[in-house]
Amino acid sequence: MKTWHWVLLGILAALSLIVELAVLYGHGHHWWSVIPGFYILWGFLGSLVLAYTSKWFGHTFLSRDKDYYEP
Amino acid sequence: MSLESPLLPALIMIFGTILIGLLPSLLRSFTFILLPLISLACLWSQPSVSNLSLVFGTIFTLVASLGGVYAWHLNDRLQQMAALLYAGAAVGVVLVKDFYSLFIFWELMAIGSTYLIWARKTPESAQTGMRYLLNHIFGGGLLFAGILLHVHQTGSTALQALPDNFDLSSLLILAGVALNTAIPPLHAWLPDAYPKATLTGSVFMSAFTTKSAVYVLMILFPGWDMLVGLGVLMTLYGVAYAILANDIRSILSYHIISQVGYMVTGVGIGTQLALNGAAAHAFCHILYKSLLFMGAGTIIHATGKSKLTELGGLASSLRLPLFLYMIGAVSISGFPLFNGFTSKSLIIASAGEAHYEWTLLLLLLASTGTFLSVGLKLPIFTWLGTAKTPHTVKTLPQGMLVAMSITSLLCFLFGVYPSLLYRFLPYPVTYQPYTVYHLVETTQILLFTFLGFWLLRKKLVGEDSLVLDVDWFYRKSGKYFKYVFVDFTAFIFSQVALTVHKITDASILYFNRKDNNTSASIYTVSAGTLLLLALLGLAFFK
Amino acid sequence: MIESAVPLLALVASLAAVPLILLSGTKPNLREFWTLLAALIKFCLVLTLLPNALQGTTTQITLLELFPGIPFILKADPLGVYFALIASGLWILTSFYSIGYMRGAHEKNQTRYFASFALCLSSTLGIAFAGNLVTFIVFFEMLTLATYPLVIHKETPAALAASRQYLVYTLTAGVCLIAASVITQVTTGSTAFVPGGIYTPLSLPDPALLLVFVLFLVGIGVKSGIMPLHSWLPSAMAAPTPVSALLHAVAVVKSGVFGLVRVVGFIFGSETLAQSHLNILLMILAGFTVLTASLLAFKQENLKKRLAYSTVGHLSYIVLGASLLSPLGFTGSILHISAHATMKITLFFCAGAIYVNLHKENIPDLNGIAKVMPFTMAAFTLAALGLAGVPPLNGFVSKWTLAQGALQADMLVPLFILVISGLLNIGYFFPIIHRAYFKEGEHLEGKKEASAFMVVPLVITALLSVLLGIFPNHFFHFYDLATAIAKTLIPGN
Repeated sequence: MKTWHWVLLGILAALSLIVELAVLYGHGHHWWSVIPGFYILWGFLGSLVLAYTSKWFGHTFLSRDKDYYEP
Repeated sequence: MSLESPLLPALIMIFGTILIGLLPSLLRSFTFILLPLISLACLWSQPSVSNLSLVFGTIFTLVASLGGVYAWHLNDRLQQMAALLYAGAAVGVVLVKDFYSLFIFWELMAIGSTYLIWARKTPESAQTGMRYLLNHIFGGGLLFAGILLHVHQTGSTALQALPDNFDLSSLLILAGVALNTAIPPLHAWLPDAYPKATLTGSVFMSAFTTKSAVYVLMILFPGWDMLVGLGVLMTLYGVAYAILANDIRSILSYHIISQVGYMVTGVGIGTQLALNGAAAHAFCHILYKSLLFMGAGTIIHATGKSKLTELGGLASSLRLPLFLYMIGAVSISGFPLFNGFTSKSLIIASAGEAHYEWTLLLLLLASTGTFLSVGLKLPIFTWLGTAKTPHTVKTLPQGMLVAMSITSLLCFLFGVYPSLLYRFLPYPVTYQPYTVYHLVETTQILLFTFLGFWLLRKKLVGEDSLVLDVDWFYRKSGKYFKYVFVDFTAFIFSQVALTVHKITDASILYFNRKDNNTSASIYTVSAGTLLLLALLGLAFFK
Repeated sequence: MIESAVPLLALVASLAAVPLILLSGTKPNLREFWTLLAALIKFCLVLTLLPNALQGTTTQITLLELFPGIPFILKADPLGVYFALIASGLWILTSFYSIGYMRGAHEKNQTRYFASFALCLSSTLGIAFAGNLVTFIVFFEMLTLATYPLVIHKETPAALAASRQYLVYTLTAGVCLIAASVITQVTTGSTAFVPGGIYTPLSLPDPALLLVFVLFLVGIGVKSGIMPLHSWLPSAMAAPTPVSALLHAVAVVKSGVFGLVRVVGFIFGSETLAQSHLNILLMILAGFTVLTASLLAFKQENLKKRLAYSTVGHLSYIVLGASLLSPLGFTGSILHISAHATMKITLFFCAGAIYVNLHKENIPDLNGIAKVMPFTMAAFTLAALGLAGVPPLNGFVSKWTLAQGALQADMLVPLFILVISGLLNIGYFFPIIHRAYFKEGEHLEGKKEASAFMVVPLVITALLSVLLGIFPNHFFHFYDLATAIAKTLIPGN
């Protein structure tokens, strides 16, 4: 990931926020529509929560040796 | 069973199985590609096919043909026959109008697809295939029982929506269909079997079993509330396990469960928009999922490896497959301009419309996970970075790349021109995917999922361990069931047989002491006993 | 009711062949010609009885009056014609198969073999056309004695032990059968097979009825393989495979279950059995047999022994169907008589072909044989699928009908037993199929498919199973016949 990649993504993110605030504000149907950038939070936190929870659950309960089922 | 013309597309492919069995290699591969296209033409010329059957039938025949292109290099007569039988039976499932015919094609699918697993000829595939077959015959048995009860109670074999009063017959049918749909806890056969099937076989398998079951689910159980919860559970379950998986086809297999979860949710919500969404998503999912499996197949074919912990460093040698895989990856992740953006969102929108708000949020969460595993983790750890083990890269058969290219084009086509699909959905479509709202929502989720991935990238590497799933229950306990039911029973009976033998031998020996002729003494005894019994009888009853 | 000598002629056709076969001992081709000719004539004669049977008419001929009121009589009623068709039709195929097998394996005593076979088929037709219990018993015992030389054919210790066990079981059963018939004659004044039964619910007090029923069960149950009277069947696999095929998968054991349908439907009758709940006893025994036999099959390493236990299980499908006392239960039961016959005979034919061609009889040795014997294994796979109840084979049609019969009788348990049995069938057949197709074989270089004499019959029976699965009424109107017979057995129809 080069710096200019991050710059591009940053611009996209900013754009999406601007468009959201400018065009969509007040038109939302859901309880979270009043939170600007909600999907930013949901995507970011969601990915973290999913990754951590799955890995934790897997390591604690479900992980076994490759040959677990061999007699 | 009577031969009705609406089933003709399916029968063309099923009887075509015999035809390709008789042909030599090149002609066989060619005919394999041609026959589903003939079925497709036949399907579109049928007068009274429902829109839903048309949508499913179209994508099934298309992907069968594309799979044939992918498998052009294959010269395994029985495997090619099995694949065509499987595909044809799936087409049959989406065209039938009654339970009896449904069951016939349902079982045929199980038979054909089992072969595709065993054809891999590894020790794991031998056992997996047997488990797969037993799972599906078990599911078929549930379906069988449910159908018979239903027919007995209603007197009709017609396929129509079942009232959600949780009758035993409906529940049994649901269980049978749920197994093929891979709804947990009846799903474990899928991640067990698909990674171990042949490379060409798993392309077919990713398309037919689960999606034909979704079709049946849509016909029989629309609006069943429990499916909403089950569907959401599926989407997250698949995503979670995919994060834990190491084998590239395991990741994709768990994602099948996740994506089918969207369809199940749509069926559960049951509104016109939701059902449209389920159908549209099934259509698009088949396209990008087969593309993804095709991509995984190229990796395995080229390197002989399928685990993230052994791959990496293939970007330069397998550039085109990477590019084409990424088209499938961005499609499944719902990027604008590709068909995931125009199909998955119908279901998500329907959840919102029907005020299933948490459902909506959780479905979006699952999308996050999808992009994480399929769009980022899999390609990055497979192609990019340094090779974790040394590779000797074999050249890929041309058919694989051609098939992937065509499929990619189709993913793009339905992404930029969604009304091509929308006009054939069961209900009229007013939904517009390219709205500001949708674009903003998608951009934000995808961008920041990427950020999340980037921060956690060290944590998300593959781990070469086994992850237990619900099949633990029958795989671990199988041994004990065998002891109790098979070994113990056999022991009892052998003891009984031994005792009986001793008695009969002793009695024959006894009679032989008096007589030289065994048979004669047996007859004497018999006659005596007979007389005695007859006298007894007369005495008893007179 | 039509008087005609055709049933007798059909029976005699193979009887007449016996001396001819014995006299042609030194000229094998002539000897085999007599067998084939007799088989063809027999089958054609039975075929002429079919139109009448389809209309529900019985063709009969009284041979003797043994005692006043107890005739020795042949009645070709619909059920009898059904069974006779299967037995005589499959005998033609088995005869061709026998030629390939006996010559391929260079078996000794072929004359004795073919002569005994012809005698067995006469007995079988006698059983099929028996008009009353007395006639039935005569031919039933004749069958036992006629099969003895066939079971003991190889004269190995295993064969001797098996035939001794076979005789003891079947002759003891015969005694019980005679006793039960005597009681029936005394109680009801008749031993004739009448649709709906000759017993009435008032004929006997319940305990006495139970005793007679048990006597009949033992008498018929040995040949029907009802547990625990079944163990002669796996032992009898010591016989040459064509014997196992026709007799133990089709004629002897089918005589048993045929007799059971006669006893249930034509002697006791649905009303009497339902009244005294004796059909529940039968159902329990049958259900137990279906499941246990399948579980025991898993343990068998010898292919024919595994097939034998499979047969035991499937015979109880027929018993189970009859015990339901519902129209579709009887229909399914009767249908399974023919369905199991075609499928099981295919499997035995395959086993014999594998033995003669590759000298393999144990399952672990069957790796990779599908490459060498593709037609045989394809037929094996089809038949195995059918026995598991997978469409579009005739085993599916009978299983579906049996399940419907269970629901008609308001019972769920038989339905689930059938479903579980299907699963078990897959469990014990498919490892064989997997080995044959997907494992590497050893010592198979230069081997080809077995002789056409063996392969053609097994392909025919396999294709027949598929054809009758898609068109159950094709050729012989089996489905219509079974339905018609079932209707006559339910009171009020």
